Amino acid sequence: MKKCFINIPVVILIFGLVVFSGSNSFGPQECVAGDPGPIISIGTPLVKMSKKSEVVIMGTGFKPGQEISVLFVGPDGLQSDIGYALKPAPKADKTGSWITTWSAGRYVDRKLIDPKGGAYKIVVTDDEYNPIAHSAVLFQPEKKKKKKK
Amino acid sequence: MIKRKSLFFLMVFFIALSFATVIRAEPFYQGKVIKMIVTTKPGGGYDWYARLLSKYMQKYLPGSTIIVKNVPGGGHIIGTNLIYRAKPDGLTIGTFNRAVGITQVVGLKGVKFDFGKLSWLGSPCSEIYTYLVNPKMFKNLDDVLKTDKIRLAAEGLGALSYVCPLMFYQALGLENFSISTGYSGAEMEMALIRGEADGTWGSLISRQAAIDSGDARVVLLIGREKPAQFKDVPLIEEVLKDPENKPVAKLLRGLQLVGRPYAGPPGIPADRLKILREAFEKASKDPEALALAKKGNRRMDFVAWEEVDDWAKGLMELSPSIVAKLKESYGVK
Repeated sequence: MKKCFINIPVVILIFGLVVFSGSNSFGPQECVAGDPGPIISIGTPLVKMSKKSEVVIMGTGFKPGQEISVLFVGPDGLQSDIGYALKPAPKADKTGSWITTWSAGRYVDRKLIDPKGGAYKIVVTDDEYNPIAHSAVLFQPEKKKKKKK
Repeated sequence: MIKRKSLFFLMVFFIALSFATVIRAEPFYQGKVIKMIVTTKPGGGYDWYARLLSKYMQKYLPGSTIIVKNVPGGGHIIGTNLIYRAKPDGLTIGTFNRAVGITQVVGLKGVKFDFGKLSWLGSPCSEIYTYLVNPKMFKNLDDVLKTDKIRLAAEGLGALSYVCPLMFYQALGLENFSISTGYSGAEMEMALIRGEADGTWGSLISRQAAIDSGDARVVLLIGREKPAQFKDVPLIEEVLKDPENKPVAKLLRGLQLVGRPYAGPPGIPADRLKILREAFEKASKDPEALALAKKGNRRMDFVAWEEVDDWAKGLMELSPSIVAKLKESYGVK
């Protein structure tokens, strides 16, 4: 039998090295043990839906002075920067903490939040929209008042 | 044998290299975040289109994420400034009222953009604007123009409901009209129904219900085409046909033609701008997007970036007499 000159493993090795060299597909993942990193929490985890709905969002463990963007992930997955409706503008203080209130009434009123309510994701990012932390808020429709007979 | 072996491995090397090139030539927008600035609060027409287009542009820019950022205030000027002054890396685009370009022409304070230099993407739709009157008082435009005085309801200085009638009557050299301001879109319609006003100007789509119910009659159209329902109603260029009035007709028609324009800052690299324009056009013509627009009673008749660019550049080259008229419309001295 004629000896085949093709060394299959070598071919695969060359192919793999050339194709994947320099690719960041398998880049290192940063992970610091014991460091909880920045975390956010929602001060009003259950929000009654009305034109005056407000969501309190707060964070700790951020870099002092860090400017923060807050994104709302809508029912269709589309992300909105809700900065215009946040008071005060979120910025970490000396201790890396911040708190802000989102006037979400317009999102409720204009049905950008499902009128049936539901859980929605709030994502906190840096000013270049790199995600830092996320949490969830539950919107609940207001109960209709029963008409007196 | 050794020679054949070397030749073979060399071949494998080059094939792999070409594969690598294909793999690494990832589209620019892969993994990128695009900021879509909307110069209004959420939930209105501009926001509706921006959210729809963001969703479908993501489809045509695989791996990208589009974040809608509302920047309301200043009559669209604040947000437009932000778009204009953004880093021209193809990662910031936005939409604003089509009349915002006029604020530059008339020299309003706070304008920090050069409308003619924006990197235009196009518009998902054109608009049809109408002159609406009390049907009990007027049958057609001739009746309206011959009347002693017509009372019009408008939003405010600089709003299209104010600028359009003022420019129209100025062009015709008529003074048989008065404009009351301070109405919202829906209030203008109510003013007409209640008899507070005899006429108003507004977009066809938002006034269709009043027209269908017989509370308002269309006597003039400004837009790309004449809807079948109004085949007897003249288009503005059919009325302002004198050579001296043609620029006014062109300006007002252009304002409707560009509908809801989208642009990025000047200086976006040509290859990225091309990608953005293609994705924008595909999103504006996506069958699912068109179906959603139909369901939401929204127009979707894509306007190419070239048309918008041409209009925007033309806006910056208006004659001094038209600029003077516009300044009057905006209350600028």
